[in-house]
Amino acid sequence: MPLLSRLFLIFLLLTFAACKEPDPSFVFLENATADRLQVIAEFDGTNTASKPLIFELDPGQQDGWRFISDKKEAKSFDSSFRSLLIRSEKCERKIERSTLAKQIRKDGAWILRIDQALFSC
Amino acid sequence: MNQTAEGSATRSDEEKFHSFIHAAIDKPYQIGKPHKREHSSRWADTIVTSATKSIAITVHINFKSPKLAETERLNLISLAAQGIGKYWSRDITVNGSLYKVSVTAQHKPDSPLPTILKIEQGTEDYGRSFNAGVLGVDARFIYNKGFFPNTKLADDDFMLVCAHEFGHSVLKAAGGISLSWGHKGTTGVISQAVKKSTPGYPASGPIDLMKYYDDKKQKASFSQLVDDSIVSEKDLMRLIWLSKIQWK
Repeated sequence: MPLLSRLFLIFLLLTFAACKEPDPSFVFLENATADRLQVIAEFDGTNTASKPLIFELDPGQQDGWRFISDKKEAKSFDSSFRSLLIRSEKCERKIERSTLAKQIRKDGAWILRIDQALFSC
Repeated sequence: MNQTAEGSATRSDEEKFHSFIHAAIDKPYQIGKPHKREHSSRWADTIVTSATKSIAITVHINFKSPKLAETERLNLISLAAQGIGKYWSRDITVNGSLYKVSVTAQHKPDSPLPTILKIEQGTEDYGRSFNAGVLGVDARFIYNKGFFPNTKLADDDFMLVCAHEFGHSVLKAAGGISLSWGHKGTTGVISQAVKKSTPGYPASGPIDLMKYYDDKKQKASFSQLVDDSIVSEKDLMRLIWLSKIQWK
């Protein structure tokens, strides 16, 4: 292959590699209860200033977060995620990752359905 | 153009405007000696209306969609245009005056800004969009139909992604590969990985559309990304600098 063609091929490969955005994935929380919920997601942080994410979810509403997934952890959801603190008007409950891992499912994005079985007062 | 009517731009106003824009985006400004890329874009037109302090920018994109049905094609063009309009329109301050900038994206088949629109039907992986901003490598805007739990989330994601990817053309044309591929210094140019010095997402307030943030330091919710992402004033000035300008 002539040098010029080889250089052009390398340039194209570099271009392709450079401009593809990193592998994102998403976790979505779905409020499948009849109550308005405040959901606080806690994460490991590389510094202590990392703040949890706070979601206000009406019944049926979904929100979540994006994370960059490692090829190694493609089969599990956001390794930095630790727990959810779920609050309704009546009560609150903290649920750890190990419990949530049994409930979360991957259907494209990772989806965690917060229903009566997971959260009730 | 020398205009003396009340509210119209005078030569002096125009020069002050251009001088400010150049300084804001770190470009030298010399009257009568324009930079080779200044106002060189064949895909962006700007109209500045002095009287109302408003700026209307039209960007022309050749949306290619060889494998899409007509309804899908029109829907994606509409969403891409909405996304670019939403995230690239904002107020900017020039010489102490507030200008309302509105950006409109339009499909134009002969535009030198080609983009392939694609729908990812599968649910396994998130299809990544890209835009090298390099001649001969078409950008690719991917709508992740099967990945999101509902259409609204897929639409919101696509609009945000289109606005970001379009921005690579602006950054590349105005600042070169390092500015564009390196996401304004927040990622490696080739690796695209966030740098150690890159901060986490702001806990609240605007999120720079064209920067990357270190989500291991601070995450942002999906709704925060959708609602709070916005082009920076500087990047919008880069677009103005690139575009052909008409004064009214």
